[in-house]
Amino acid sequence: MKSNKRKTVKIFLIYMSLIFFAVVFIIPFLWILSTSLKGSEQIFSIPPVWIPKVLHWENYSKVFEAMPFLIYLKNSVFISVLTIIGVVFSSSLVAYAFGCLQWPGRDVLFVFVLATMMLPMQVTMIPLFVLFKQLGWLNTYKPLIVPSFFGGGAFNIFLLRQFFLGIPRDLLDAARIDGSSEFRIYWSVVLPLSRPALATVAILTFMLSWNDFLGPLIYLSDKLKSTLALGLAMFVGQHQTEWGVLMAASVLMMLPMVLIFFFFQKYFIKGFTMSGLKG
Amino acid sequence: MKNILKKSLNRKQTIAGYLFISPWLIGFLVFGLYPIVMSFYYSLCHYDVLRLPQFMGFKNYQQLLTADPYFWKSIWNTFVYTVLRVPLCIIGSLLLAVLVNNTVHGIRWFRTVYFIPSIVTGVVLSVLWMWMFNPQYGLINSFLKIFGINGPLWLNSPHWSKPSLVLMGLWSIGGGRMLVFLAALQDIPKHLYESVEIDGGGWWQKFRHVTLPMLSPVIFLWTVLEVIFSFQVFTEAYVMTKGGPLDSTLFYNLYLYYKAFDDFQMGYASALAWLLLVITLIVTIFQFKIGQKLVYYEGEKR
Amino acid sequence: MKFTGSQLVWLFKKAAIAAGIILIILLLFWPVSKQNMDGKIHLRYWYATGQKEEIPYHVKLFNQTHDSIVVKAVPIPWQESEKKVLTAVLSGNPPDIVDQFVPVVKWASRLALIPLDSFIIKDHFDTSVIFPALLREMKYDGRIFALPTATVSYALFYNKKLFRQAGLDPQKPPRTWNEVKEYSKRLLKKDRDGHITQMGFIFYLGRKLTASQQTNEPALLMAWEKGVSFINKRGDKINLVNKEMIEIIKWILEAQKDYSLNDLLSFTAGFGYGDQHAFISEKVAMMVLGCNFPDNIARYAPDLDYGVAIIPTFEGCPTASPSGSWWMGIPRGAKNAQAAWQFIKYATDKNVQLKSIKAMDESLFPANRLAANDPSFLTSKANKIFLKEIEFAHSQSIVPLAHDVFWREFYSALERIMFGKQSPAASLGQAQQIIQQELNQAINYDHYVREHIHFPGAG
Repeated sequence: MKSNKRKTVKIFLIYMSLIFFAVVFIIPFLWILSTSLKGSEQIFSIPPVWIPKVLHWENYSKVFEAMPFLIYLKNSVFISVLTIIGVVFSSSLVAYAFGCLQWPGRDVLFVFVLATMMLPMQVTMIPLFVLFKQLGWLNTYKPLIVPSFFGGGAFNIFLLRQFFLGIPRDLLDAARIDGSSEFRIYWSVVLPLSRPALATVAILTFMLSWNDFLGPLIYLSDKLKSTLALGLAMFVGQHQTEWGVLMAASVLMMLPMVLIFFFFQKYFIKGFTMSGLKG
Repeated sequence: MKNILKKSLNRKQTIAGYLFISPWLIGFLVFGLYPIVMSFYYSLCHYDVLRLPQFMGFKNYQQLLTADPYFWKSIWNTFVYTVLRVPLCIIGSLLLAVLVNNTVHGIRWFRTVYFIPSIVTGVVLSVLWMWMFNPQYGLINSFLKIFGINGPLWLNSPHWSKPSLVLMGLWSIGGGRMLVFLAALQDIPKHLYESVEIDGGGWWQKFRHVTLPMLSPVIFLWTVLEVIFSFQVFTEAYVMTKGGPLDSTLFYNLYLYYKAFDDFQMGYASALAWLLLVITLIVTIFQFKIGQKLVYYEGEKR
Repeated sequence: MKFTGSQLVWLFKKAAIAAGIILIILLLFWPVSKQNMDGKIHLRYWYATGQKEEIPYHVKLFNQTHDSIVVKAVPIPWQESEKKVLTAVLSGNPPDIVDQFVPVVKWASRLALIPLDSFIIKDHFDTSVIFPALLREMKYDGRIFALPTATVSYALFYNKKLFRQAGLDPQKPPRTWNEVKEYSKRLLKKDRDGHITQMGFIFYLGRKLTASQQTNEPALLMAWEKGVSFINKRGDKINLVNKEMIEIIKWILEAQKDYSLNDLLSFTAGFGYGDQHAFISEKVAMMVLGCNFPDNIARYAPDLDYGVAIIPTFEGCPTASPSGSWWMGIPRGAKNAQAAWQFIKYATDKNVQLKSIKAMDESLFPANRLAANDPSFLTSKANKIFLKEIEFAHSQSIVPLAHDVFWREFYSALERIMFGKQSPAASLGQAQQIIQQELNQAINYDHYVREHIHFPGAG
């Protein structure tokens, strides 16, 4: 009986802790939502009000007045979609070479690829700016999109390779003996089998690209070419204390991320657990 | 016959191998190696991209190391931030993973809830917490007031600005990192725990002698990665504090950005970038050396 | 040669993917050319804005009166505008006209602007209509690189209602800083917990308050009043550490004795823009504010009972007001320089300036002398005071070749002193050293560049 009692106490404590953290993690979301619907008379009130007396939905419409939100949205989507395409295809291609093919120097080069993950981006930031200037790519989207077609990032290569390693060799060998080219195998055998992993890469890439700030900050000078992240940051600089509208803008910008999360939850979770980032 | 077939298959693979990695290779050469080399050249010049480079030898480095208080301040700031953030985040994710490893009813829901904050990053995260940290009207100080505590000025205080950023980072300890820890936890063979129980050990012994050693590779890997990411902190400082107050959040990357893209002093900024590369290398090697001593890999005798 | 159904599908898929990839590549690399079919010249005009993003009135007027040219005005937040314009110049496709705040030398020396001399001469433009002090700042290497369109002027704004409440005479605004200190003692109000709820004048050191409330650094004003010159005549030696500066700083620190630094910071953290502005929300009774402020008051607090006075000074010293001008220039690489010049010339015209000021919110002070002295402009008492202050204007473009570093270090030094991190002498000394170093390098680089590049003339 004693161990039963201990067990219930343990479960009780576990639930208490779980609920405690859940509340702590959720509260900022509620706060941002609450503030986004308040007018300035309630935003600047002490103690803070949780449920606004009047729902100021116009904070949201003010966002569209205060910045060309839809244009920023279009730009962000354009950049993100192209980046995803570039990353998914080039990183899977490279991962295939490391995971499914045998060739001299493969493993050494792979370690090298991993090592590049540790390169601080500051080192390349400035010369890339100069390079893009010389190419005439400044103030265009090219610096943000083109590099993703060339390798897609060491992390993605690593993740996909991990997954590809799990594909049975026999399947690949059989196709080879049948006379298929390696590209055919990659395209028709491996890629379809890897949909979950590819989805994870796509989602992670989307998150990075959607929230990318430094890139657009450096390369884009035309206001109408800005992305959402950049637009929001500029907005903060100008209207720093219009908290209601700021929160509304933040909610709007978060929305796609949260939606994607809810629809593709399992890919998020799978991606991390399967990534083999266990050392 | 079989040998010839195998040989031609091998050759095919080799060709395909090199062909397939060519995007990465080209990318590395053009967007990686070439910039790194040019970066070094620029670091030896005075250059603002609008005009031509003026070769100056090691003058930039000399100025950085001997006559630039902001350089040292930014290193200090980045160091403090890293030392505060990395252990807290790793331990936080670890503890949370342990908590969430309990298969109680509805645990999946909790894991999902814990994960969600981590998808809010960058500018949106900064804007949200700027408001949370507002000394007069923000949630945090209002909450503290309930207990009669007069909260600090958070982002407006030179002493609290970095802890504020660290606190903000703790909001996402339930994210991907926790999931990786969780997966690693679930991989630990049950019999290891059982043998501790047989020896009469409680939860602390289990943790110390089984969990920690078995998780040490993951923890180590993530620590190395987190340190590197920490060195690159930028967006939060740029959006929330612009380096202030009193340069308390002037991180290395922010200082570099100001020098490069506000002052257009690309040469000086390139010197900053190269020094960072050197520092990162040293720190990473140092970590690996420590890692060799502390990390337990399967198959080794402890 | 017949294909089976599945082979067709396979072919189709491959074709679709290939088409998709080609489309994407085309999209990426297609030069975006804006061919305007209406035969008019389209000019892009990037202007720096603060809170408001109104299209400058002179744009509307110009488009109405000029048939063959259309000006499209794009607002850019002023904190980012310099970087954005320079990046645009680098991209090879900059806007045709930009609108910035001094110093022009910073832009001209970086080869970012086209000299305007040939346009001025060809059009017989009379440069004497511009305030001479403002015009002087438009020159680099003996050539004019921009024309000023507006300038700023400041004055002391004081809240008459709060004066009365504190027992002060609303017709007698303070004339000296000592009087300001005395008045502030009476205007200071704290609540039960000891938190500040109202102040007279905020003696603050450092950028944070001044930038957000667009008021002016008292230390700076006092330094100018006492005749401190931060740089030598030749323009190559910085002078920050001097007896007057240290005295001024000590005086300011002394004036802060009635409250703790924390209290002050808490109080100022609650300031905002618009109706949350410190003066408009009646939290601070006296502030040095710009000539654009009366419009703000009219919008957010039309019933505010306030007065405008000459900026206080020390006994025996003249008043001082920061100035500097907004200018328009043509970035290097702009495609329609001649048309751009037409627009710039138009914007400096006396009548255009008068009309603009009447029509705009938060209007600035005209750079055209004739406009400024025009009776229609001098209708309000405030404007008369602003005009007077212009006589005592000190340019904010003190070290043009190291402008940003100068101000950054100057304010940082003051901030460090206020927080007690360094003594005045040490802090100013550190700033001076850094600025001097920067200036030396800039001068050196400037000479180097001039030896190697022949500066381009106008188109």
